[in-house]
Amino acid sequence: MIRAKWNRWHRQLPIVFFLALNAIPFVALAQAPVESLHERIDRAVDAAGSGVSAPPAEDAEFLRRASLDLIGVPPTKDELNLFLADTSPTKRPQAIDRLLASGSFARHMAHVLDIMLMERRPAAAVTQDEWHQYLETSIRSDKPLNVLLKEILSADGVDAPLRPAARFYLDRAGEPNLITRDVGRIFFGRDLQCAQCHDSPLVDDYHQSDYKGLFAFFEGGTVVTRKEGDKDKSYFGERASGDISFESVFVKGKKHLTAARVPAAAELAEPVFHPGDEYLTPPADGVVPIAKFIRRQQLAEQATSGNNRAFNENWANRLWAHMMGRGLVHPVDMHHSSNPASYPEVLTMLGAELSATNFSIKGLLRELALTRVYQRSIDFPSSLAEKAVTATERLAKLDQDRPAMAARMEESQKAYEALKEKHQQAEASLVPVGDELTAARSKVVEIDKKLAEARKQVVDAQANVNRRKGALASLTEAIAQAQRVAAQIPEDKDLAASAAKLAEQSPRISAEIPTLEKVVAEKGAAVEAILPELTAVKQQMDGVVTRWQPLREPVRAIDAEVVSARQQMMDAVATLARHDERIRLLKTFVEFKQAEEARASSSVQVASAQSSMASAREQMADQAMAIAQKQLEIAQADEQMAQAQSDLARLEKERQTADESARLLGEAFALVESAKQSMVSDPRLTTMVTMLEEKTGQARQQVQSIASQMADAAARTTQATSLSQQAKDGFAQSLQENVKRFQGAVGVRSLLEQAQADALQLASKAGQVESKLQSEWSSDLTLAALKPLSPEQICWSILRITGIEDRYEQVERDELNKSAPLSEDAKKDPAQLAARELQIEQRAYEKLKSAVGGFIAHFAAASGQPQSDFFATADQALFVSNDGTVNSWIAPSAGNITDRLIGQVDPRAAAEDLYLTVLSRLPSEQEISDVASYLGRRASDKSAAAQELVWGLLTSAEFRFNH
Amino acid sequence: MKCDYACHQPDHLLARRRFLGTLSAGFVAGGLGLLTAPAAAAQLAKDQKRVILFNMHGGLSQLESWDPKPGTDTGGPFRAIPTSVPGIHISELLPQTAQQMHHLCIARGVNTAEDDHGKGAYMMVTGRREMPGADYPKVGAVFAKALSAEAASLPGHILIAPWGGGSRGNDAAYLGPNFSSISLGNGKPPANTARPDSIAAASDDARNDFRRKVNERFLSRRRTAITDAYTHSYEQAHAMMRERDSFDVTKESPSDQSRYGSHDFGRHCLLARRLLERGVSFIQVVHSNYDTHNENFNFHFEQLGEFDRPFAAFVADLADRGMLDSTLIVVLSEFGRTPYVNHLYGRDHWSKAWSVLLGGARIPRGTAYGKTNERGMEVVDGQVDHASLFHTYLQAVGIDSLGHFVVDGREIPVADPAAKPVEGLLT
Repeated sequence: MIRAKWNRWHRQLPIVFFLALNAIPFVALAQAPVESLHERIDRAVDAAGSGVSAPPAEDAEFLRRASLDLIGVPPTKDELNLFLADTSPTKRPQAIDRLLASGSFARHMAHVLDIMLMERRPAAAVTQDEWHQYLETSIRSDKPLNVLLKEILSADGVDAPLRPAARFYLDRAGEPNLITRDVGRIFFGRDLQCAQCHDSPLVDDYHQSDYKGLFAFFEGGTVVTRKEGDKDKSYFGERASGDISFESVFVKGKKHLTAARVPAAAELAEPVFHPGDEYLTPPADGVVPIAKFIRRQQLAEQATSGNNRAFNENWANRLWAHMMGRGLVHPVDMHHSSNPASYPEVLTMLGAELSATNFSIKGLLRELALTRVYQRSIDFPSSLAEKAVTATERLAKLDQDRPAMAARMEESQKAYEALKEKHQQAEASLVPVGDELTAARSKVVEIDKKLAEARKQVVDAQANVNRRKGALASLTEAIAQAQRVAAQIPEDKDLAASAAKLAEQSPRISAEIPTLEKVVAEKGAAVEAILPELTAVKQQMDGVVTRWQPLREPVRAIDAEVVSARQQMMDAVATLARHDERIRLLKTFVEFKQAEEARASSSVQVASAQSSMASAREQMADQAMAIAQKQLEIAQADEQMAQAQSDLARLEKERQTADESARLLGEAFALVESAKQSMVSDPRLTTMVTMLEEKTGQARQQVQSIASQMADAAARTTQATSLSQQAKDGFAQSLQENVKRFQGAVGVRSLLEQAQADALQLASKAGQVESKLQSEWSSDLTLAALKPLSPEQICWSILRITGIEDRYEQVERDELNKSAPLSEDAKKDPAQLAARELQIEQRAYEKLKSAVGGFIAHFAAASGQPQSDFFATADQALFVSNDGTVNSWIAPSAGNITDRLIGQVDPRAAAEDLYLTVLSRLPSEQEISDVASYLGRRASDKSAAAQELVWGLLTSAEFRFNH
Repeated sequence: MKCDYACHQPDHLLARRRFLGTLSAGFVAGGLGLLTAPAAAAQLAKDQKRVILFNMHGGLSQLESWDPKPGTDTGGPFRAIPTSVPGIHISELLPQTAQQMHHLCIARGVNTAEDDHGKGAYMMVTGRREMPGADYPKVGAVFAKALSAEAASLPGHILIAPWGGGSRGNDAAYLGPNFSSISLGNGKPPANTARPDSIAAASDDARNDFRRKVNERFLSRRRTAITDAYTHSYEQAHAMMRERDSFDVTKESPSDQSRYGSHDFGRHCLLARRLLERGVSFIQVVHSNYDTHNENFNFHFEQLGEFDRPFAAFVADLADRGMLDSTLIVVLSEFGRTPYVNHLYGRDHWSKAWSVLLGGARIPRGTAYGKTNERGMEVVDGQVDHASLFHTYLQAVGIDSLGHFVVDGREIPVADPAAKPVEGLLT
């Protein structure tokens, strides 16, 4: 099947390629300076945008995006591989053309239009199939959008081929207020609901007269139900009516009136008919009335003529929103001047282009898909701060332009107010005559009714006469017959008597006839009597019309001026509002730049504080070493001192011993000397004296030596004391220095902490501004938007990815090949082959489409509510997690992705197949290794593991959104 | 009990079906944004406000319930009995409820001037008259939006009806499907909250871990409110699966189960108590059917016989558990029933003088507000209507009913701006 699809595509390639070559840049180059729409769009967006943009989407992302937008499903793996391998510079335009030419395009766009127009209301008057078929056929045959919408706006359901078009009205039960709201929203982009009872308190541009003007088209709408066969069939007819008179619930007693009015256009000029004369086919039971002047016809024609700006821009905006994920005007049903388009010039351009290109849906979508804006990625651009420089300049320029714009706006407001005042005055004099006209009209209705009643009486009376006359004729015949029978059988007296009896009746009945005829005449006279009365009230009404007309026309004329002044005012207001919006956006950008700069400068400060901190730490380390040195010195000096002191103590002891020895020797010497004097000759004494003398000398010497040693030790002590003192001083100094440096370091640290806190705060501020910028840029085309898949897209994408679609198509192909095999010639005819493929797809689609119901039930907004708002609820996640639907689709089945994962032994190939099939892109190296380890861990349970991987990707945000 | 009512005209059936349709099933990512003051928001987070609404489907007769007129030609055969509040009498069909009257408050002067089932029901649950082209959220969606914490694991808007079930209702209008009701048809848990047998718990964990990892990579490219909402929906789903027991009333004690009764309505009341205790913001319990165009007295005898005991047990339990101050109780219908009795011993639709029962939260205890005349033909004092009652419900749990919802940049009044809360029904 994939192969077959690819073949089909491939066969078309040369043609498509040829077309693409012709259609895109070459025509523009060769033929002259006709700039294509997509180029003009890009130029306008570049000129007015933020000055930066997301980088272009990569090929895989582009193809997934375009496929989902144009045919509702992602590309198949084969399509994607071929696209990625293609090196042609025009491969994107080619892909767009291929998608637009695909059979699925019409079906997908039919879904899109269906949801847009019906908002999932239940199908009652027209089946969902008929309706869808109608839309799909219209798109497949390239019916211009305005033609399709004209059919819908003017539909009454009578014309069989166009009957489905009446679903818009019929499945809203013909309710005029509901239809007014939805036609306003869906066809003109204006939700006038809040202007139903008074001018909208929320939107300056939505007036009660706008609501009532649109309401006038549907006020007379009437659903006519007829029994046809065994079914009730309903039609949407229209009863004629006049101007609508209304008052605001806030300003009671001040009446206004309006004729039917297409939004943003002047009032309709309507012919005035006498009641009873308004119809070609008057209303009656089971009859769809046909008025001479059908308002809805006028609405359909005016709206779709190409000249109604509101209509053109609304539909251009809706198609834009379909592709870009968000309208230029958002929400798409809130076109008004305080909610200007993000790029008004682009909206104007698109509206005009849609009209100029004959409302070609394909044509516009193609141009949109070709824009660079469409092909941007979702990624936030990098190095923004540099690019923001120009924003400041742009901002200055915008600020400069503002006062003139504001002045223009005020001027236009004044002009509008003046005209509005004029209109109100004219209207005030018209209203009483309008009331008279209403009264005169009801008088005519009343007499007309009386006349109809009288005429009916004539008819009834005449019928009476006719009945009598008929009876008389029958009687006369019966008499003749009876007389003939009596004559034929004269002996039967009874017969003659009967004949006579019959004959007796005749005069009585004959006599009654004139009486009855008189009644006819009387009733006839009564009719005659009413006729002049009718003529009189009609004349009366004509008289009022004659007075009314000259008042009505100026009101209409002033109204036309009001409409145009209002449009100018709205444009001026919108221009200023958009200008202010642009200023706001640029301010965020500038704010971002400043925040980024602050963040950058704060990180510089952090770095510098960090380096100061490092040097302070170094200095503290140095000082610690100095302190240690001084401590060492002190210790050394103290040690020296201790040594000297201990020397001194020892020497003192020695000195004392020596002193004692010297004293004892001296005493001994003196004793021996005196002994010698007494015993001179004793030589031993002489020897002893000599010896003692010598000894004493020695002792004295020793004492001296010790004294000198002691002096030395004392000197050493002094020196060591001074050294110690010095060292202690140095130590104290170092300590002081240390305290200083520590204090310095503490200061540096608190600076660092401050800088870090500042940096954190600035980073968070920058982060905030960045996310603000991201969200603003998400809505102004700087970044591509994330588009949630519709319930249909989710369902059909999963059916395709899990191979269910393939399987069903294969069954249909086999079936068709058996029941209606193609001839050999047909097999060679691309057109016939394509038709066959379409037929196969269609048949598979029919069989599978009931599966969508479960997805609609969970993923779609409630019936009758806008369907474009994203929401995520737990019941959706529970449905995908625990319901059988998705779980059974991802079960392994011959050749589907789960099956292939189980069979694949090369983890890289498995990962690539998985990501290409489910997420339409190649996996990163990290993702490959994740898949490899996932499957590796679960080798014994590969089937479950494969299903888990497929489920995990199918439920990822990357799958849930088109990006 | 199967009722065969006279009211079988296609209009009625259609209206009834539409009513059901609008009341059937969403989940909540909510607000707290509407509270009257930030202080109130803090208080509420601590002492979360809740609302329970009993919908007496088909139209409860005020004469056989809250506003009996014994001894008059309209009063019917039943007597009035004294209640726990001296001076307040209610029908003898509600003996147990009578003993809880000191917690409750009867609004006896309800005049809604709408005798059509569909339209009356619409008015009572939206606080506004139906208008073509306009669509308003039902009361449960409003409370879910205003009261539910964003991170709540259980849905904030629950509907317990004898029918249907499992799915999300179409009743949140512009507030969006996050606030639509989740219906527990006949007390069954919400759909798909049980993991299928075919998927092992480990396998489910593994695939979800893989999903988270894949998300992390993608969200590092671009993360927005809608991607957050999407990833959060899976976490919410898992929380609901974990807390599936919250929906299992058989986990309540056997004595409670027997106190509430084994019939559907008894189980539904007990389930409601269980869910309120687990922080669900709004629950509507439907008791059907009261559309008694014939045999009014027999049917009320049976229906209220079923209603009385579990309802009284429910009120008493809330009071015992200290939940009454934070929980608003409302018992309403689409309208009341005619004082006159028709030839089928029935009472028909009657909206100009009927009653709504209130209790808890800021509602004054043990009072009757408003009065009808002797035969119950008209309101003579304290007249209220659907719109002023709607304001009152909101104010009773601290929501500024005069405030606005902001939807897609549009300001939409929370309640009908032409009406005001009923001061006499608020303390």
